[in-house]
Parts: sequence; C-alpha cells; structure tokens
Amino acid sequence: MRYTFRWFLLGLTILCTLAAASQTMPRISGDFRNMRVDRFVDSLQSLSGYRFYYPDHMLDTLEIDVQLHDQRLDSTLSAAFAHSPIQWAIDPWKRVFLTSGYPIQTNLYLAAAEMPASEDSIRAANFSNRAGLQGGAYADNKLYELGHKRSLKTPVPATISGFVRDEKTGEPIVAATVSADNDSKRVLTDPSGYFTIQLPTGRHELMVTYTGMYDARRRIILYEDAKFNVELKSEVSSLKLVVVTAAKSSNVAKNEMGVQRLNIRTIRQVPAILGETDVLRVVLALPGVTSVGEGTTGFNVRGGATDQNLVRFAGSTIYNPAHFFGFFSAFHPDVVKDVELYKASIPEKFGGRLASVLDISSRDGNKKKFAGSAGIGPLTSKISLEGPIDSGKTSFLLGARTTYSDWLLKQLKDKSYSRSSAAFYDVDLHIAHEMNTRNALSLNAYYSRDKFRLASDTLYEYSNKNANVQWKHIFHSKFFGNFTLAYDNYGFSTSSDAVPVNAYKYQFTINQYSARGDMEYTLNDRHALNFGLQSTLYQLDPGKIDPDDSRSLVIPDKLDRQKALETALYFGDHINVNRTLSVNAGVRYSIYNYLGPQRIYTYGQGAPREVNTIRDSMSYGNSAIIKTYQAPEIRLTARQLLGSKSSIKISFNTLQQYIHTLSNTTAASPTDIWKLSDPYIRPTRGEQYSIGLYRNVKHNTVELSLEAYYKNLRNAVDYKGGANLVMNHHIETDVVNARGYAYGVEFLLRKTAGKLNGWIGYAYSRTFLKTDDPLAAIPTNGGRYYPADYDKPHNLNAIMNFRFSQRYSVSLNVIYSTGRPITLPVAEFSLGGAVRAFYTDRNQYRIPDYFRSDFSLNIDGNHKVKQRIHNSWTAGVYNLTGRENPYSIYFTSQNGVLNGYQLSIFGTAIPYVTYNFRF
Amino acid sequence: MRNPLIILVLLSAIATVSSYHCKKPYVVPESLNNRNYLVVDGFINAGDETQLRLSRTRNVGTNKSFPAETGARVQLQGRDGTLYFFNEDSVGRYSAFTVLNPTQQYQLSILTAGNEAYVSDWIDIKNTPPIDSITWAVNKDGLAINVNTHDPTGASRYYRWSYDETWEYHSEYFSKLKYENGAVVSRTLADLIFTCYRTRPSTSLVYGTSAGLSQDVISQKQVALIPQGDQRPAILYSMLLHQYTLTQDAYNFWETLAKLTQNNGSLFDALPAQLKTNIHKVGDSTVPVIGYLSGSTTATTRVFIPSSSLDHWRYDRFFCDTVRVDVGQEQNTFGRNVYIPIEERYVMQTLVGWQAAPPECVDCRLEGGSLTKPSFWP
Repeated sequence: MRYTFRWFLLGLTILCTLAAASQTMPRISGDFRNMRVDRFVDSLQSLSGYRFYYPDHMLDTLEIDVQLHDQRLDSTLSAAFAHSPIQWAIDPWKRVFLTSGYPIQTNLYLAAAEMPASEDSIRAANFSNRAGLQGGAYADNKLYELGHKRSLKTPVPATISGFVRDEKTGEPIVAATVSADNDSKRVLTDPSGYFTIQLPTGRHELMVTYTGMYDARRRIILYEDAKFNVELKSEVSSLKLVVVTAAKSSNVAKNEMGVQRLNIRTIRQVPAILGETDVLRVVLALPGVTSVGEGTTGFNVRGGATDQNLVRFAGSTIYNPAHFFGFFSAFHPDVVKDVELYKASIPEKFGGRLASVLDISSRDGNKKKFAGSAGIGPLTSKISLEGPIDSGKTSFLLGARTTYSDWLLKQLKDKSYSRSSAAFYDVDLHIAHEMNTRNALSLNAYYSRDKFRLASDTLYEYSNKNANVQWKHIFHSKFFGNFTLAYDNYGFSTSSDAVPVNAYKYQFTINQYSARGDMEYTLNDRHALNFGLQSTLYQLDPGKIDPDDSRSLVIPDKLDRQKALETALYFGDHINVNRTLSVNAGVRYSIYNYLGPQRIYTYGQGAPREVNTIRDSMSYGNSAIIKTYQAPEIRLTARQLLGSKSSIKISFNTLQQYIHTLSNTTAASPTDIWKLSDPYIRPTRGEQYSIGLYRNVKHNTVELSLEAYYKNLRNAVDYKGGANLVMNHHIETDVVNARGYAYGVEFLLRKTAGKLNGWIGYAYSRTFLKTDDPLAAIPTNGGRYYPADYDKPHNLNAIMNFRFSQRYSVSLNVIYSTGRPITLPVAEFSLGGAVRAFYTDRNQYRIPDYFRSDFSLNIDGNHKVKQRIHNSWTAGVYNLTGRENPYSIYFTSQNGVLNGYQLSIFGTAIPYVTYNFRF
Repeated sequence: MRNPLIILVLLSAIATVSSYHCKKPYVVPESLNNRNYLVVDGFINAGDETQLRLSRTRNVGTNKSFPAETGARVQLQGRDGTLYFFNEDSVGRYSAFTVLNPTQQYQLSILTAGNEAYVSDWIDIKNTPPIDSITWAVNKDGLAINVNTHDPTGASRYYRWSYDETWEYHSEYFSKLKYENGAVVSRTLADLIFTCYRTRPSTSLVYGTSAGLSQDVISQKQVALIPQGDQRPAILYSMLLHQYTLTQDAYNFWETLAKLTQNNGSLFDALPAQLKTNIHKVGDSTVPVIGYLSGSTTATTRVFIPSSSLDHWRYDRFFCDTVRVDVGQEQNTFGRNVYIPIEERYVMQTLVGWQAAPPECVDCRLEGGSLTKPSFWP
C-alpha cells in the first residue's frame, strides 16, 4: 500500500516537473562541491529567484557534491539530491519544496493558492522558509490581519507601530528601514527599534531591511491602528551571495542630509592602528571630517573646532572621547552598535554644539542566552558579557577594556617616550528592561580613565563618568515619548610630587545634570511631529590647586564654580507635501542662564580687558541670574525626489553653543579646560546653508552624493599671545572674540552591499578665522582672515573591503589630504645666549601632504553555529608604504643653535595581529 | 595553545613600535624678506655694570652672523632724572655702570645710527635674594644641578637664572714629547697639552616662580641637566650661577619664549605667537622689538662638583688608537702633524721609534678648551 502511494507521488512529481518545465526554468552554473545543503539552497535561491521550502532541521547534516554547468533547475535538483533521501517538487509559483523520503504534491497548493483567505494554510504544512529572507518561520507568506476584521470598502488612514528586533538576541534594531508597498512609504526605526508607519487600511506588503540582516517581508491586511513587531534574522551563517532587494535605507529618499550612518560591522573592517577597532578614526575617513594630525582623535567637522562636536554614547555626553594621549577612541567596539554623524541637518532634539552630532549607540544585551566576546591585541585586551537577567524581559551588556601599553612605550627609542607611561581602561554597562508592551526602561553607564606621564614628573589623569536612565513610553500607537535623566562628569588632574615643596595637584571638573523628554507624534499621513523639552544644569569647577605633600608650600586656590542652566524647547514637523516633496521644519528655542554664586570683574568702558583695567567686581548670590542668552535655532530641510533614484535636498540650520574649550595648543589635549559662556564670553553662533544631490544606482546598493555647504561662525574664542588659561581668575583678559567662515563640497560614493563594499569620499573644504575684537591689543594676523589649524583643502578617502567568502575578507584604506597649516618662523634672533625663532603671522605655511594606505586581512573561524567559541583573526599593516607623514614641524633651540624638525608619529609600516572570540 | 602566536605578535609589535616616532631635520627654505627687527639682549644690573647687546634679526636658514647694531646712542634715565650713558665697548656691545636706586623706575632709550628711536617702558628695580645652595644628584637621565633660594620678604617671587660653566678635562693620552725643529724633545711643564679648561655660558632659558606658594621659596629648581656620558663632570666641573629677580610680566615673557622656542616638539605644542615686549619703537608701536628689559641686582654663587661626588660617572670617550712611528719617519708624521709623539720606544735600550696618536687624542685644546687654568680653579 505504502509502496504504491510512493509510486503515485512520484508520478505526480514527474507531471509537475514537466508542467514547471514548460515555463522558462532558470539555468544554474557553479561549483557546489562539499557544500552543506542549506548553503546550497541559499545559493540556488538567489541564483534562480525561486523560493525554497523545507522542514526545519532537515538539511542540517547533509552535504552535496556537484558541479553544474548551465543546468536547468530541475536537473540541478535531481543531480544534487540523487544520492540523498531528499525529494523535491516545484510548483508554478516558483516555489521549491524539499521533503525527506517522498516529494510533495504541488497540485494541492495550486488549488489552495487561488483562495487568498486561506493563505495561512501554508503554515499547516509545517515548512519554514529556512533559506528565506527572514527569520520567523513561514512569516514571509503568512497573511497578518492587523486590527479587528471589518469591511474595507473605503480605505482610511491607519497606523502600524511596533518594534523591530533581532530574532536571536531580542535586541532592538536601530535605523532599520520599514517600507510599504514597494517603497512608496518608508520610515526608520528609532534607537529603541520602534517604528510608526501610516498606511491606508487594506492590503499591504511591508519590507523591513537592515544591513547584515535578512530582509523581512510581511503581508498584512490592515483594518485599523495596530501594533506589529518584526524580528529579523542575522545573516551571519549565510553564504553572502548578492541578495539584492529594492529597499535599502536610502540616501535618496530620507529627508536628512549630511548624515552618515556606520554600523560596527563596517567599522570593524577598516584597518586600524595596532588593530584597535576605532569608531572615531573611521568617522575621520568620512568626507567633511578632518583632524590636525594622526596623533589625535579630536575631529573637525565642516570647519568646526573640535569642541563643536557633541559626542554622545548611549545617551551620555562624552567630553573626552579619547584614550592614550588621544591616539585611540574611548569606545569599546564590542559594545557599540552603530554610529551616526550629523553634519548638516541636525535634528531639533540635538543642540548645544555647532558643528556636528556624533551619536554612538550601544547594543542591548542578548535577551535569550548568555554570551560574550573577548579580544587580544598588541595594545589592549577587551571583554564583553551579555545575557538575560530574568525571563527574556531584561538583559544586560557589560564591556571592559584595558591596556598594557606601558611596556610598549618603554621600547621606544626616543627618550621622551620611553620615559613616558600610560594606562587606561573603560567599562560600560547597559541594562534594558521591557516592562510591558508600552513601557521600556534602559540604564546606561560608562566609565573611562586614563593616566599618563609624558617624560616628566607630571602625572596626568582624566576620566569620564556617565550614567543615564531612559524610559520609553508609548502613549498610543501614534504617540510615544522618551524620557531621560542623565548625569555626565568629566574631569582631569595634573600632579607632581617630585619636589616636596612644590608638590601640587591641579583639578578640573565638569558636572552636567540633564533631564529631557523627547516626543514623537505621527499626526497623520502628512505630518509627523517631534517636540520636547530639555534642561541641562552645568556645574563647572574650572580649577583647583592643592598641596600634594605635607611639606608642600602650595597655597590651596580654587576658581569660582561656574553654574549655568540651559533649557531648550523644540518642535519639528516632518511634512510630506506630496509624493516627491517633503520638508522638515523645526525650531529649537534655547535659553541659557549663567548663574551665581560668582564674582564678576568689571572693566573700564572701551578699554582692552586686562588685569590693569579691572575697575570693580560684582558679587552674585547662589543661583542668581548673572546673564541670560536666548535664541531661536532654526532647522529646515527639504527634499525633492527626482524620479525614483535621485533627489535634491537643501537645508538651513542655526545653532548656539554655550560651552567652549579653551586651548592654545594645536591638537586637542587632555588638559584643555572647558568654559561656560558668561557676561564676557558670549555663546558661539553658527549657521549653515547646504545643498545636496543624491542618486542611487545598482538597486540602491551604490549611493552617490554631492553636497555643498557654506557656514558662518560668530563669537568663537581665540587667545592673546602667551595666554594663561590655567588657574586664571579673570580668564576674559586672555580671551578674544573671533569669527570665521567655512565652505566646501563633498562627494561620496558608497557601496553598501556586495562582495566589494566601502566608500570613496572626496572633500574640498576651506575654513578661515579672524580675530574680531576691538579690544584685542595684538589681533592674530593683524585682524585679517587666516586659515584655521584644521584647514586642509583636499581630502580623499577610499575605504574598501572585499569579501572573498564568508570567512575571508581583505580591507584597504587609501587616505590623502593636504597638509595642515603651520606657522613657520620668519626670522631668527639671538637672545639669552641662544638662537631662537621669531613668529609673526599664524598658519601661513603648510606641512607636506598626508598620504597613508592600510591593509588588513580578516579571517573568521568556521561558521558552525553550534560550537562553543567563534574565533576571528585580523592581521594587517597600518601605513603600508611606511611614509613619514609629518605631524608637525617645529623649531627648537638646542645648545644655543636653532634646529628645525619634522615630527612624524607613525613613520613606518606597522603590522599587527589581533585575535577575537565570541562565546 | 595560541600563546606562542600571541607572543610572536607582541614581539613584532615591539619591533615596530621601537621605530614609531621619528624626528627628521627640517630645513626651511631661506626667506627673502629681510625682517631686520631690533633685538635687545641683556638686563639692567642694578648694582654693577649693565651690558646690553644690540643686534638685528636675520633670515631663517642663513648662517651669517647676526648683524650688530653699532653706533647707537643708549641711555638709561631714572624718574628722578639721573642719567646713565652707555659706551659701545665692542661692536654692538654697550655697557654702563648702573648703580641704581631700588625705589626708582628707569627707562632705557636707544637711538640707532639709522636714526630710529626705541624706548622701554618704565622698569622697576627689584632686589635679588642670595642663592641659598646649589645641589646636585645623578639620576637616570644624568647629572641634575639644582638651585635653592628664598626671600623672607616675599617680594621676589619670579626668578631667572643663567650660568657660566667651567670644566677640566684631559686628552686621551698624556704626551711628554713634542716635535720641534726637526727633533723629538721632551715637553716642559709649560707645554703640556694634557689638561684643559673650558668655559661657556648657558644657552637655555631657566626660570621659576614661587607664585602660588605660601612662602617665597624656590626648592630644588633644576638649572642644568648634564646627560649621562658627557665629558663635563668627568674630572672637575664648576658652575657660576647668576640669579635675577623678575617682574611678573618679565617672567611671562621668558616663560612664553621658552615654551615656543625651547620646550616644544611635543604632541601638544602651544600655538606660536608674537611675544609681548616692553621695548617699543617710537612713532610706530606695531614694529616688533625683540627682548624684554628688567632691572634687578644679581646674586651669584660658584659651586664645584668633583667627580668623586658622583657615583661612577660613565664618560664616553673618543675612540683613539696609538701607532708606532719608527725612527726616520718623524718628519712625515710629527712634522706634518698627522701624529703627536707620546713616548719613546726602546729595543735593547736603543731608540727604535715612538708611540704616537692623532692630535685630537693628545692635544686637549682641539676639543675647544684652553690650557690656561682659570684663576678660581683649585
């Protein structure tokens, strides 16, 4: 009986196969020797465009061994499965069913598929789209009914909201694209993975896409406002054949401009100094971002100073994002999820810095199982642990990193470095808790600490301490809010106890307390609003000196605490004017109160502010308002689609900055002090006009953009020659106002998918500053405009990765830029027994151009899912050509003679190997 | 285990890190614009002779000497009307005996031969406390020489030091012979070329302050660091240390000058800037003048540092080898000053030749010193 049935089925199969063959059957070529069946099916699926269905776990252990040359799909399957128990069947809807033992009868589905209401029936067959584009079993083909069933005669607008999460870890996926009906409508998920999309009631197809994840397709019938969560499956174990879909997070369609988003996967591929995956260094390779040299991670965005970047990590403001004199960024790569850099249209919810917002988001811990990773490199070791705390509602992620750089420094030939010492570590903790479907809580804490000596007795220390609690509340499907309480602290100290009489400790501290509520409300199809209120209290201890030994004669001294309250109210509207034009219009109104207690010196009217022009001083009581500044900040962006592949965008932004770094060194130094705006040091104001053209080609996998900008800067800070910025009780006497302007054109070609991916960016940009203060006695360069320290007109970055297979990839960086401006002596003189250099105008010369190429080979261990440890190795060479790129040129008087030197930081090719593993 | 591999990785890292930072000489292209600014080098010595050197700046990268400002009329005038005229002792060097009243302010004026007038701000005359002690210690970087001073009145606060160092050194070989009039003869005591003395002034700026301390005390302020292997302290070293008191503005000038031209080359260098001076060109205050004049008395102390006080001072000598010069070769070698004879060589009591060495190994003067023993030398 059974025997007969089998023959009957086989007969049907032949019939069906013949039927299918009557259509144009795709032809397959390739080498599939010793390949696991699931990979083979993956490949066939992408090569044929057919969908494969088979029971879970069926194919896990099998391997196939065929070589194909232009074979039809059916004969391919016959050949591949000839010696296995696998049976196959193809139906007219380009679906292939694999079964164990006997083939399936596709005719039954033929009948079923004609009745849409029973599409669910596929579920009954207990198949999963294993090799399919998404994670949840059969989810692709299931028809989801959202809301209560009702008649859908006249479509009315309705809202779908929900979370996009990683199927494996339960982590929210940030900035995933949720699009409906062939990209006619699209939104991105927010930092908690939340999205809201407005659609007319009726049938739709949703696509959820995110780089590194399988795309998820969901067929829905929308009856009314509804919640809908989607889980994405990681691509980790797939064969990375090009899976091209029409809907990538598109540069063309999104409304923002001058925004770059990099996920940690991309960042990891970029070769780095000593193999340290470095978030900030990859950001430096984006067009529009420059730095004064490779020894510093202080970065300049579109002509802004390094203090004009708001660096946020998991909702915390990081004042000093660098380790090790500034060589490495202070973010643990295993904890970072992705990085967003806003250069032009800065969202209303951000403020307080002029040039950019660098928003680094952390991952959430794995909600389903305990896991961890660790890495060993020449400079640091790192570890991260994550896992659920209770039944899938709460997760934690703990990361830590430390260095053993000290002994490396000891090897340096140059005495000034071998006598240096450096140590650092950083620790992150992220706890995410989902209370219920409407409420989620997260706690983020970050601590970093650096300690170093630079060939002297002075010990430098600095540290970031940050913590915040975020509560996300969904009021209803169209309206949700994020409420945050945050504490940020940054401080540094220098101390020396070499001579007991002079032993001292000098300290600087910023405390920042903030509370904010950020709301998003999808009003209707045309308006999505965001609004909020933010308040930040700054408490700055600008200097304190204490004796550091019982014999010390140092008189304790303390500068008055500076206190200020910055409050901002913002409102923005994302308006879809029509299908092609959308506008983001917003305003942020910021009010800044400089508060007592403080003593403010008054100076003679119209006289230069100098110690000898101090007339009087005024004392203000605790929390008395000393000075208020307020201004509306305008944020405008408009996007016009030009066909489906191109768009043009324009934007206009104004910004205010109330806290400034005071530094008279070229590179951002860990001992730069921050200063709040006060009656003399006015808030820095900036405005930016930009225009951009965007075009996507090759099914959105290649993004092209061309952006141009012009920027104005008022009330920037500059210093008098030989200014004293440390323990200065009247710092306004050493500071003068400056203004500046910057302009530039940036071109970016970025390929986001495929074997070859990466980007090529070119920027032409100029930045000029001038002293603009009638009270400055000797204005810099006689009050004329001069190029800023970071004015490097030509910048070319090519960051490329080529993936040979899932296990092997190579990366290559090529970086070129014009040398930065420097000040060279214009004359020599003899004074005090030695020849010395005389300087006049600032930044009139340039150091030689910068060129560097880096190479790395990344090897992933095997991809068996069920192994205890996943290994990966990275080997590479930084500065492949060994070019001695000058960091600075300086003239110094030695034994009475003036010598000029060119200092290179990494003047040789630096090979490295790092080993990482996950468990 | 993966350990061996990790070790390999770390070793390769050491190898490369060792060559990380590199410093290469940089030659600035010679500038054509002749700046020609006046440089006033010196200070007003309130209790003794004031010496000022007037010169001009030169273009960067030239090896020409600094043009001296000669033929200028230089005078110092007190608020009380006293006047001191300077004489030009040698080209560009002006001096005057200036026994000044510390309660008065003084002003220097210069009228150059080219009829440019320069005038200083009014200068306070400060009293300099005596040097308490000079101490020294050998650390891993070398011999550090430190100064200690204090001012019980608390009026000094800002200090600058300069010094003249003198040291005794020996040539590698002691020669008791010399070649004279075609013959090798014995040296007399007066012609020995084994022991030399060399004196030179300090070249780096040394300044310090007790501002911020509860007492006006300078403790263990390092004024000189002689690197390991240096010849200077190998036999006997002496330092004549001069101490001057400054005003705060003068201190700022020297500190800034040192930051820009002496203590630079780090990753976090200060931006070069023009220095604020107290000497101005009359009629055009925008013309830069280089130098800062301050007035004070001077405190001076001499210290001797014998090598016996230093624990095993290692001294890197020249590599010197002796040669044998046979009889008959004197004219070719000693006569042409290729070698200098050290001592005779005898075989069976017959003179066969001389042990000799190149002049730089025998004649200590070739290293820059002089045979004349200074009067203060013990």
